[in-house]
Amino acid sequence: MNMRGLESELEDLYRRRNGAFQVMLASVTGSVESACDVVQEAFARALRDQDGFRGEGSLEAWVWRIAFRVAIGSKGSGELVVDEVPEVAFVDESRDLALAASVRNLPPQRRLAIFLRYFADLSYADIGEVLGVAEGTVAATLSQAHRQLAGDLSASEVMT
Amino acid sequence: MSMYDDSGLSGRFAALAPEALSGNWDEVLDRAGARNGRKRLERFRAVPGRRRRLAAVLAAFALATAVTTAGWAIVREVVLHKGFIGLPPVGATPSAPESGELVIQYRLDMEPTDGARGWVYADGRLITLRGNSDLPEAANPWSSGFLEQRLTPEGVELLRSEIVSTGLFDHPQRPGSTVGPHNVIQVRIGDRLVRVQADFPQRLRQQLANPESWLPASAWANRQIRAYVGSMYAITYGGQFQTVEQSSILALLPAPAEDLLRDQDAVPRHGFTGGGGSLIPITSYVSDLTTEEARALAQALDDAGLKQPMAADQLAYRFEIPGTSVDQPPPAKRPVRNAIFIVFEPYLPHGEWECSPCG
Repeated sequence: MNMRGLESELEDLYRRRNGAFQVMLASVTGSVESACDVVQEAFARALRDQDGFRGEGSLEAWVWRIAFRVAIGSKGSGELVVDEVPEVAFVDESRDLALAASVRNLPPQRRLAIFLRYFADLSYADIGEVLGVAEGTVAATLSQAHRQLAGDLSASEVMT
Repeated sequence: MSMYDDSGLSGRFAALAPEALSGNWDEVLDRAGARNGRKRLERFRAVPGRRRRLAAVLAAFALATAVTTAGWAIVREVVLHKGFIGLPPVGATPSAPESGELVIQYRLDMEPTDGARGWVYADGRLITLRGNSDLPEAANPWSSGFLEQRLTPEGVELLRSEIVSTGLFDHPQRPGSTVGPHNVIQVRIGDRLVRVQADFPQRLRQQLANPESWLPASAWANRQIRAYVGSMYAITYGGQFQTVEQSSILALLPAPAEDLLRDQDAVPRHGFTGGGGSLIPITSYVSDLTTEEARALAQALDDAGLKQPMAADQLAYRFEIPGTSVDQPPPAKRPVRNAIFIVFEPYLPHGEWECSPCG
């Protein structure tokens, strides 16, 4: 793909998915305002470093990896690497305290996978590509997360 | 369907989603310096640190050396005290002996970790693969990689008797009566391996997932975890999502990789891709390579610029075949280019290999 084509695809991705990027990344940065800034920066970096996208895998997954790297603000590679599991949390837990508490109890990998599923609205395959794991690992991680949440929520909702 | 399946949770997450702000593509272009040739000079403002914490695991291999004496000769052994994904570092000492008699094999769905897989051999080796593990010796947060410990004969027998004492192995299931690989234990009783798939007691699950937590000191010849280093690798290659003839795959590979694989026997492996009742039959091919041959193959693929898309839990390469269009397994609707995958997995001492990320 030539550079102009990639720029156009990035713009299209931005226009379609800006909201999902902000919602997801707010769970890393702690606010929509800072997440909005992260998204702007991530797409700007993607535009500047178009050679970094080798075209084998989805453009969106590549931008997500850049965006996570920007969001966690650490040094090193320009993209998220497999040893990193960004911490995620709801920005405002007050609207569903039971779910928020149950999600807090998930191990970091499951929590991240479940946020990517429901806030970023990514398929299992796309989540795998963002995190650098196989689709089977994503399926197993989400299945365990669902089971743990079901157990926690049933217990807490029976008690209240 | 419970309320905690996709649809139930997505509604509850939606209620917790903050409202996104409006986007501004022009500002992105400004930042990128893509408009009017301007360069953005100011440095990106770092995000305040409340949630910048990382659950990071250092990827660097902890190499330790142990010196053992064998007769009059000094043998230098390179032991890896941390799991790894894919090929071992050059010089790592393979697990010995190369082959072993399997006494116990288990694959259990577990809480709080994502599954426990283990293999116990008559020579005392306990090899484990643990998903989503906080184990310090794990290769990364997603996979431990194959790990090895050593049991004494007493330890092997303790594990075996805990399994057999459940009574579930008194009336073994007929071959073919089990579904899928989950919650399965095989145990050697007499001269044969007996396989049972069941909802095993929680106590036994915990014991197998965490043998360090209950086996006495006398059960361990070496409790310290080290990486399992295989001597041979199974290289599986095929089309995704449509079968590609072996000769056609080889012709698509960079020349050194093609030469390496062409020299090996390739066993067809008939399986399925997809899920949820929408399985597509697919044939792939498996060749056995020594570690050094596998390393040469990986080097050839790296040199050709092929990507490793699944670095966290399996060494794998994938590339699309130009000019092709195939259907993906449902529910995906959009056709995609057919692709070639090449996956590396170490052989275990009983002569089989395991799909590491197959959860």
